[in-house]
Amino acid sequence: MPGKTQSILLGAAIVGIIVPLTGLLGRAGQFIGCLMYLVAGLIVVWHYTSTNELTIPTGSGAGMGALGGLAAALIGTVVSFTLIEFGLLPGIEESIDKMYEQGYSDEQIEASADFLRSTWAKPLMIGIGIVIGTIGGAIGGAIGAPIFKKGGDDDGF
Amino acid sequence: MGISASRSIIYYKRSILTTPADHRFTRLFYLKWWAAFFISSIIVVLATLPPFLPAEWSTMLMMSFSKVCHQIPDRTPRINGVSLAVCHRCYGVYLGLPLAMIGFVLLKSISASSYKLRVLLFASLALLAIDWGAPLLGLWHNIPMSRMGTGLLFGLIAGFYLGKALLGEENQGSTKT
Repeated sequence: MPGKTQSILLGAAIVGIIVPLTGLLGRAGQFIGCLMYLVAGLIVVWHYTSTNELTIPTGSGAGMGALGGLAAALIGTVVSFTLIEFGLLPGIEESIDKMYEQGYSDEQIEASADFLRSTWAKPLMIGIGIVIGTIGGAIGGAIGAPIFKKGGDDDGF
Repeated sequence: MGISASRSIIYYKRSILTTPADHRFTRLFYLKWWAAFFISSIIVVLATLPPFLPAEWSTMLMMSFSKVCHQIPDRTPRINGVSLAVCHRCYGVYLGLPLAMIGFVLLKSISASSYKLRVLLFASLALLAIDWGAPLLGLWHNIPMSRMGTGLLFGLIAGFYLGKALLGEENQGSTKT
């Protein structure tokens, strides 16, 4: 079985860099963001099947896509934190300001601010991002495996 | 009905499966199905939690989803006045995943390589794009139901592909062309 690492890293790098940058695109990025981890899985499977002229089972595509999505989430986290440090993306303080719009009380907002500034809030958020990226990537890989297969289509349902 | 008659029915039903291997397949399939349903439900459950959690946990969830969704308040479902973690469209997509797993039991004979399924997939993506892009072009204003509905349609099809992957449609290994 040819190596999959290159394909996984390619999909992860492309999406991991693009996802945080969609926050800078305004309305256009709002559509793209929802589907980007799915695109990571598609890129992984497309690159692997095209490079090696292979057809892979749906399960294998999902597995590779999941790894691509997971890696994309990690890369995206690094890029996001970098953009937040430079003030290009909203950070914790802006999120706390949003809570005023949502009608939370001052006590609730203060409790949230303390929580978000604590040491384990970021790891939790990163963990949830990884779950989203992994599942999104798995879906993209599962879709990509039959789409990028080599050879003809099935006749129908 | 007597106890012996009900036991006879149970033995008859078991005999339809013919071999002990069939018993293992059925149990294994449903174990895998429950695992697939759990995996497909994770994101929609997390996205639904903010109204039911203390403010600090709700904010943490909102920030976690902020990378993949704009979370604009008037385009986001609300429960008890508190926004969910994602917009109507994204929520429809994520809701479609576990719903697809429920329908998968009835539709699992459909091949993931099916041409018609692929057409449905691209059609659902086209509807998503139209519903998102038409207001930008000033053609019409979308509504929460259209955003969630188009997201749900895509989510159902994406969830079906995920079901095929998790519940093992083609496991015959890679084939080189």
